Amino acid sequence: MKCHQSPNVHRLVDDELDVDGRVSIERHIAGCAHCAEERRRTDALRHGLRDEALRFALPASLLARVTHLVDDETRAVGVTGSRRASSRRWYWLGSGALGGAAMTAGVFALVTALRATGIDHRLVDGAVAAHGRAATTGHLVDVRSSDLHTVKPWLSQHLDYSPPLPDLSADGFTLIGGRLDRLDQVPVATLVYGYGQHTIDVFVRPTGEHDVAAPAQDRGFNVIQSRGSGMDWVGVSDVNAKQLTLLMERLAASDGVMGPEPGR
Amino acid sequence: MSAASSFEVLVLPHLGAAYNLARWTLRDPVAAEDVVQEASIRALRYFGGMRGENPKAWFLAIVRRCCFDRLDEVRSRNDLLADEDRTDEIDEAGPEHLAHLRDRADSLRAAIEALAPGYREVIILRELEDLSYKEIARIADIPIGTVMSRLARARSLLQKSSHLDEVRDPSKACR
Repeated sequence: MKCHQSPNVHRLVDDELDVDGRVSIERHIAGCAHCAEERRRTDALRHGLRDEALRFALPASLLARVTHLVDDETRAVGVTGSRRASSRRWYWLGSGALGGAAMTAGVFALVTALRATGIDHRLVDGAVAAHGRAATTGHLVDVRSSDLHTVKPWLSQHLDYSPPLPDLSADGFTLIGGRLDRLDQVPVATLVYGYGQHTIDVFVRPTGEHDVAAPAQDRGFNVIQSRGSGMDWVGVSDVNAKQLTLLMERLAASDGVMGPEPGR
Repeated sequence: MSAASSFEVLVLPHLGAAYNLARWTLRDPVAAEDVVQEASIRALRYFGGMRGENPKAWFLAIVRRCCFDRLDEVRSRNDLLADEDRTDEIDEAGPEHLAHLRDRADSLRAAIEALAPGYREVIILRELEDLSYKEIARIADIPIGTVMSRLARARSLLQKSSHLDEVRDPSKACR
């Protein structure tokens, strides 16, 4: 290594520095030809590695086999408890309370208003569980299309709100499609994006009463929330936090308008 | 929540990362599938002992150990950093070697496969799985400083052996 700062060039490229560290190494790079070249070459290599489909996809047969193995193993050990128990964790109103009432955005607003304000931990919980289920079952989308003009109408057919769907392909985010999920017993639109070899689930519903939580990590996934264009957005992915934050900010700024005031 | 259903929620979503790591480490799709199955059973058995840590890093550490247990049957553990010689071979072959490769993907794949396992795994975990230094340190059971030095060295080796600057697009690779 010709320059003692080159480890920090790698830290910079890997997002492992805090703000002060970033400022410091950027300043150094501006005056150091070796580190500037190190950064250029490292970026070029990483770009090349990302570009090509080097990540091997999980064979569907292996997924099925492991799922069955896990089932068999737990039967052998005699572990009790329903496998569907986890999906009932967030039924706080009780399954009968809303009866046959249509799940409209109005009902959703009522449900939201009845909760205490603050951070909605159940929402994050449900979002991460839904993301995990989609990955595990391989059922990523209900409507598979990279065309916004196909996905958007499909979503508005099944929900009574229509989230904005900007074209983010210039930032590397490709639209894989959309699906419906239920978070806290309420149907929500899930936009499924791809970034390189990673999948990102974005759960979106009209802006609610709860605060937007700070970025978090849950069960190995990054969870980033944002608010804007009339919607609350929750992004879940194993893509790095910086890229996920960019996606969430772009989505929230879709129509250039900030969300409504809480309580409206 | 039963142990089985929380295992489903916490660990099974990382099967894709597990398979990718196993496939690159063992360089054999059949062996990779065996290892992922074996690691999943092992993980289910140890699951009760995993308290509040990152389940992805925890699971991939088990997958990695299963991979190296399998490789141990063939070679000694101390060879983790040994076969840089293969990388030099590719470097010496020069552009003629590239002519045999269809495109940049082949060039990169060959370059990664030629890396010694200790370098290959940090590249896979950082570049393909987007894991942090801390997570890689947990999975590979090495200090963060070692993650950094191996990563820098692996990147340097890849830059030399894949001739990335020259293979910018497929039309240039075949003359």
